[in-house]
Amino acid sequence: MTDDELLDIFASEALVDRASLVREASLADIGISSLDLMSVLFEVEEKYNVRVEEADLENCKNLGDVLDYLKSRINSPAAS
Amino acid sequence: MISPGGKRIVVTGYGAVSALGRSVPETWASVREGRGGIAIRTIGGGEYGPPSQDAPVAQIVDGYQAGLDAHFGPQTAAALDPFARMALAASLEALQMAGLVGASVLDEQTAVVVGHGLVGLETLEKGYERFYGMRSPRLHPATIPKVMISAAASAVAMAFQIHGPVFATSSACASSAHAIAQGAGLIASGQVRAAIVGGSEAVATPGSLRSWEAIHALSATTCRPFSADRDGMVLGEGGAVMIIEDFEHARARGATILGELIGVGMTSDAFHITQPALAGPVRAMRAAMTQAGALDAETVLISAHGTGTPLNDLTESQAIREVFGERAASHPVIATKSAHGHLLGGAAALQAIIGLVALHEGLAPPILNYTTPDPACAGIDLVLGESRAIDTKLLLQNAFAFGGLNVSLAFTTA
Repeated sequence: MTDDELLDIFASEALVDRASLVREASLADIGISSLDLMSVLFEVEEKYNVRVEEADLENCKNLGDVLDYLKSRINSPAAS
Repeated sequence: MISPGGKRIVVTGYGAVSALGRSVPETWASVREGRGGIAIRTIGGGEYGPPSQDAPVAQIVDGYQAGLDAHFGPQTAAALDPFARMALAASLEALQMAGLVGASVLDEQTAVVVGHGLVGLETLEKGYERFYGMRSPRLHPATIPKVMISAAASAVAMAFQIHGPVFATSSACASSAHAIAQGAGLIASGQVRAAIVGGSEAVATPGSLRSWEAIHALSATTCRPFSADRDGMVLGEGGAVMIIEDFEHARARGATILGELIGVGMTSDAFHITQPALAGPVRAMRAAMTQAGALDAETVLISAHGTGTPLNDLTESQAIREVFGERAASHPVIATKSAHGHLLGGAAALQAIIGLVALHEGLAPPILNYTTPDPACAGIDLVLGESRAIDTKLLLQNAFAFGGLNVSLAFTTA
């Protein structure tokens, strides 16, 4: 699992420029709304067959934190 | 139609996508040549559903949204349920034909009124399959924006930056006929100068198909309007939109006038949720033809609701005989659902567009799949076999919906 695969989903679901997706930026700064984020989570769940809890994302300060959380879910042995 | 305000309502553009083609010219070429779009298709039951089944449907042609993608980019269509996508594709063709894309009248002097019977079915069925299948409690966040009945109207308004009255109509199989009537009313009352009116429907989904089967409305084979062996309707996908305008506005900008709406009749049976009554259709047809001043016209092209169900076609043929009396057999009757299937909320708009082209071409397209005369439907002049030359400038479009909601529209190309 690389950041690139997830960033592709962010770019296509949130309709944002791929180049703006830097780990240090906040979602708001990039222009990703809460609705966009829901679309991203939906696609991640579909593609990787995992469950993602929105509440777990509340502690994420920037895009990098979100990517790390999503990767932890995808790579979790409990993921089915 | 000379309204109380003295305004005449004219047609200046139309667009259509269906099983017959990606545009009005493609659609007309199919019906003129007697080429239908109904075929046996395999409709999948989904991952958790029943086995797939083969059924006659009139599926939308591939590539119908190519024009949309070229004009707006692929993301616009991708964000819409198919029913809205089809309405938007038809609207683009109609506005291009009318020469109104980007025109200032679209800003605050144009309405969007589009009708649909059942909406968002693909989005709902796919989402609920996942949900009820216990695969995920999460539904896609675009579910509600995609399945709102007004989603197509909003999509058209956003795509063409229309800031006037924008809403959907819904009256089952008469939805787009009511949409045309409402758009005309907005122009007649002076609230707008133009209106984008029509409808669309995308109901060839597994759950929808089973639901229609459950009320025994669907044919097992194909759509055979007025034929003695008719056994039901066939679902059709597509969208159809016309641009109507205040005549003075259209003339001032040098628009090509494609027709004029000269009569509207709207009635309710208040009788049964699926069975038709005779009086409602009779009153609708009579009101439209009376307003048009054409009740005694020599020849009128009648574009029948003609679903191919035993009851509709029986009632409609009785209604035509009752309204036109001795002259009933002198009006050619066409029933193009035999070619494009039943678009439900989009049907009346598609059929009216085909009817207008038929008047211009002087050619009535044939009723397809007809095999055997039905004595109960006798006394009307069905156009059978191949296209027939006609000499009339008058069109009567019928739309008789479940729940007894009837609309008849009279147009002229004179």
